[in-house]
Amino acid sequence: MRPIERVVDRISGFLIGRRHPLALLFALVTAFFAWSATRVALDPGFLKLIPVRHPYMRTMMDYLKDFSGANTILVNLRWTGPGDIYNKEFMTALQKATDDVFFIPGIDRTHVSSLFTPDTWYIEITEDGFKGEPVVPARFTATPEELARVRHNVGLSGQIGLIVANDQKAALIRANLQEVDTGDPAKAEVFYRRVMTRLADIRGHFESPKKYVYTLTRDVGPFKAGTQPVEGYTDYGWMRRFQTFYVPPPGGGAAVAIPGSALKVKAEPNPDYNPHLEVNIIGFAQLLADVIDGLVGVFAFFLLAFVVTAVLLYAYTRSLRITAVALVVALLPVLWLIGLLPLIGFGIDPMSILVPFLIFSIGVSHAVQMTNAWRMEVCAGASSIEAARRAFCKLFIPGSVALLTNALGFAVIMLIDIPIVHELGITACLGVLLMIVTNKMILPILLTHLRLEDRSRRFATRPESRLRAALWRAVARCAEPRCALYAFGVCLVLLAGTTFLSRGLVIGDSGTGAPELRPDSRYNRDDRAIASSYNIGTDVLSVIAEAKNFQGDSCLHYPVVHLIDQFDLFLRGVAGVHSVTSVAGIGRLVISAFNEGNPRWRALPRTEDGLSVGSRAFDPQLGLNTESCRAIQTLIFTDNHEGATIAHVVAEIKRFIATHPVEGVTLRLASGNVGVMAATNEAVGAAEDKMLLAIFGALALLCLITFRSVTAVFCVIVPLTMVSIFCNALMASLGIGLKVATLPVVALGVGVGVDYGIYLFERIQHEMRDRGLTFAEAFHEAMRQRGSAAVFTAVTMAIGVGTWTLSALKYQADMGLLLSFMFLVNMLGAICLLPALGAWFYRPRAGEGPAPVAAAAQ
Amino acid sequence: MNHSLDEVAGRAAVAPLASRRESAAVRAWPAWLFAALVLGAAGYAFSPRSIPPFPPSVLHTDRLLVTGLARSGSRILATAELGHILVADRPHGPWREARVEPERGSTLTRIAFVGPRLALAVGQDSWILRSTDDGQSWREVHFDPARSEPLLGVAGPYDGKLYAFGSFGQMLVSSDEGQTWTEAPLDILPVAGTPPAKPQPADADNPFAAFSANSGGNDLAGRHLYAMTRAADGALWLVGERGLLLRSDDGGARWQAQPTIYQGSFYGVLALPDRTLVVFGMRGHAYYSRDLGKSWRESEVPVPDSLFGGAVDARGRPILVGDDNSVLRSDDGGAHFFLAAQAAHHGLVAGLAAVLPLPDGEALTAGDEGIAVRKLADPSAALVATPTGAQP
Repeated sequence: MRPIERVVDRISGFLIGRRHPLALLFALVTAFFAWSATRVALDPGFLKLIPVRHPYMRTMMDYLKDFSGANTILVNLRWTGPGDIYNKEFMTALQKATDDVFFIPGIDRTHVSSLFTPDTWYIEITEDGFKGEPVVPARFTATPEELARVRHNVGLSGQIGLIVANDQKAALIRANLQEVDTGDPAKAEVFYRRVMTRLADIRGHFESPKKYVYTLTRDVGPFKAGTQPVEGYTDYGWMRRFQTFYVPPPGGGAAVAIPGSALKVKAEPNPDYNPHLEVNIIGFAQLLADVIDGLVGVFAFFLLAFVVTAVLLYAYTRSLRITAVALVVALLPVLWLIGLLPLIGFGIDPMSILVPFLIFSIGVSHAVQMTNAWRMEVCAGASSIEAARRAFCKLFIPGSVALLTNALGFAVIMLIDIPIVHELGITACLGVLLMIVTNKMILPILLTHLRLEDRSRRFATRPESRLRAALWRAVARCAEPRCALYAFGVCLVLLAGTTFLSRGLVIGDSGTGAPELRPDSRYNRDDRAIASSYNIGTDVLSVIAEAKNFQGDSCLHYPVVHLIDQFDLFLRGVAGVHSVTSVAGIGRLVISAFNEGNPRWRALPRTEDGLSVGSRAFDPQLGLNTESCRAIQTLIFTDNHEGATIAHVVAEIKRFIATHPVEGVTLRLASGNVGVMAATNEAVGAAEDKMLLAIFGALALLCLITFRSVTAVFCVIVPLTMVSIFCNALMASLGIGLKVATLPVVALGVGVGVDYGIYLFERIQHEMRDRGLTFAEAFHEAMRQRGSAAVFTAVTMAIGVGTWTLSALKYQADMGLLLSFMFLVNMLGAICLLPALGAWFYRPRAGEGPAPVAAAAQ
Repeated sequence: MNHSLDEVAGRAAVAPLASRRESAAVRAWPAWLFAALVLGAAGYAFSPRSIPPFPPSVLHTDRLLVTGLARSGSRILATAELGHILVADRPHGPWREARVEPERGSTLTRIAFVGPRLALAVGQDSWILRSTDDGQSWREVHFDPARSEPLLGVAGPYDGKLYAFGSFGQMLVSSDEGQTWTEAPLDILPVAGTPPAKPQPADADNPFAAFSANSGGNDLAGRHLYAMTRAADGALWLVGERGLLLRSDDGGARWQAQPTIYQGSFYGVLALPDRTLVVFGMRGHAYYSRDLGKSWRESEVPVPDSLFGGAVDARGRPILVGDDNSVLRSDDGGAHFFLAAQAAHHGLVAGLAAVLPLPDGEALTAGDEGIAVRKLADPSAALVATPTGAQP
């Protein structure tokens, strides 16, 4: 017996001997985590999604207070009735909607623009000079004369295509959200919940025929029972009792949380409802709201996966007890993990909500191996307790190694420098490590108490059906050198094709709209509706020019504004750029406006006096520069946010920056939603190779330590490598880009997929070493003992994550599809390609008895 | 007892270890080869992927401000923002960039052919560029960054003299085909019998208050000059800011101010082959004279857009362009203009600054949205003016 086996033996003795006190301890731990799990909070947040340490994002963070960053909200009000927007009903609704937006918590009130905000001006040039006035006159009451006036003013304002749709049947309200309370999951959750509720109400305000008035049934804080502190336009239905309403108290101060259970609701007709009005809302907060709505579906999938797994488990074992035990043990790490999260200050976010699934699937897979081994021992005549001990001894090493590799797979995900992915990695890693306790220790203890049903015993000991035997024989033939060559041939053909396809993989998104959601989701329909009716896109990249050491206003220094001017012109020539907004462009317009709007005057003069004519363009109120132009942002609207477009535009900007040095001015990438994507894509691209090298390197090392054989490492790693290429090819051909959600898939798939290889090879090695079998015989034996469990777990796990493909969330569907593919194909790799490789590595000499195992090592 | 798989294998072997290993490695070659191929493929599949090729970054002729157009034979030249000059041999392009030496980055405002293969371009900072090779390459002949005021027009040669003029009455004259330029301040005779112009009241809303306040009483000499032409009788006409209308019978030595016919600015003056003079300017105002400028009548213009450029086509018809991408033409010698083209625009402003008539009822226009070839409608199919100009 090897020392490691002695250690395992001793642990098993301890575990089985002290099983009663240990069971009590584990029960207490479970109870504690169950209590703690009730405190877990949703932790969304914009800043978690961005690679905060990337230089672009540092730029963004530096100016988050000055410029809007990327957290914008666009509310589009569309008139679907006859005529255009210049009618009383629409204008009144737009005014109310503007007010609604104004009162969204966290909104930057100085930067709300719509036809009704005072920053929307028109300029009319006359022989006597020019006059500029707000587009909508003060004390607007929507008389026909005023409506005609507004129509005229809108034409002059140049806002058609900007805040009034090109067909003049819709108008836009733009606003920026300032994220407060970042980094505190509890507060961030409240903040976003309030914003999302307001957004839903803005939509309902004009689209919902009913208005909902809530009456308090008991006193909450300063509000007395019977009062009506809340009104809304969203029908929560039975979900109301789980809804929290945040109401600012009458005297001001922090909003009071009123639980939905303390309110009764009454529906009233909505006076502002108009069937001719349609509301489109886009922006991060709305996206988040829709993603969270989509996450509700996650629980349905969890239930579905659970039921499917239970049915499969029962079909496989024919034992209700084993099924129940396996499911409970698979759920334990999920519960422990959720209980652990609040203790380490983490919350659940749209990414990490997927971890419990994964943990559950992996948990089932390991539980099946353990119960399977236990059942075999019991059927061979051992007592429950002895069988549990033996199963533990047999599986502790390969099981723990497999779980360690899983943990490793999750750990390398942390190489992606984005907080949400970090948390995903940490959460998943913890979950898998917890599983070593639950699966390898709690499960054997539970099994000691289990008595196998006779039905299950009969099922397990029945002679192998002919079909099954034939199947195993066919699989076992892969371990014969001749058949192995065929396997190689097939694999090489596949390899050639997929390698070629995989080169088409793009980093970043490959579609339009919000990549998190499906193309036909309400959000993406709204996005398309807005993008198609206005000239400015919703994809904006901002470059910030710092000019800190100039005397007075930096914008009055020609070298500064001239650089921006050149940059503006350069960008207009870059493929993928739709339009550009810069202080230089606006400055030229202002200067030309002072010269009767003559296009020949649209230029920036070299003198400070000349430039000061355009100083109205350098007003920080316009949101393009800070006070005295210490920092100036240039907004670049791109055609789309496809990875390739972003990469090209960013590369061209870097080229411009390198070839246009101006003393005292630094051009810094990048802000805006495209800036965030650029940084994310770069972080993902940088992490890809590092991550793959780390995971494969670590796996190879772990296998080497476990098996002490180089050829064994090749047997396990080569199939995994091939499947990873397949996965890339699949992504490329399905148009799934490599991004935050899909990059971890390869690591997860490899980390989990290696299980099959490890479980099988460990058995093969045992059989060859202990019983002197040839490789083919050993493989057949390994398949007999563990193969069916491996196939079974691959199928259950693939189905478990496969349910995600039904999700309303595109990234989740993508992840589900790819993970299911990885799990299944890795299993196939382990039972077909692994033996084919082994057949040649451990090929017996003709006429020889024992195989010269692994002679080719080193 | 701590034996690895390989050691077990080694002990199990009968033959000497070294040769066994060697031969076994050779015997397992298909597996090794396969492993090597997979790893190689992985190395290739995961190596950095280049982004798909994009068109190179160049000036897009529909995305920059183009202020002037000139044609000689088949060669077409255009002046653009930040000192770019574009060259084409066909109206539809392709356009390429001319070489400008040195690159000052000042926005150019107008361009003209003033001799065989000889062209001049003027712009901001009193910048004058000269080309002797049909516009392929340009050299600087005048530049005054300290003053930083634009030249807005170039004209000539009239009796061997070339004129470049612009803001605040700035006038430069060259007698050597544009190689050297000298300042020639305007000598203006006021209109007989009119009192000196009143200074405009200093009004915060009036952007011109600053300019007029400085120029005091007779400010004619300080007004911006926008265009010059020579009438059939050889007289030079110069138009400019706030209705400035000047006539010179002695090659620009002295200018006779004409009675005011319009308070707003004039941006252009055209001499038609039938001896008609047309002046045009702000907010759809144009005037024509059949008697070489002795008397003027207002033209009928269907749009209130300011008109910044004009040209006479091969059939002697004036074509005017201006704000809101409006293109106007008159088929009756300037008495009536009709809207011949008006394109949608995409930005805050969409002014046209210059036009080149083309055969087949088309015109090349230049402005805020670059260069475009526009189909001109016939008077019978004249477009109805839209007040806002922007169309989806």
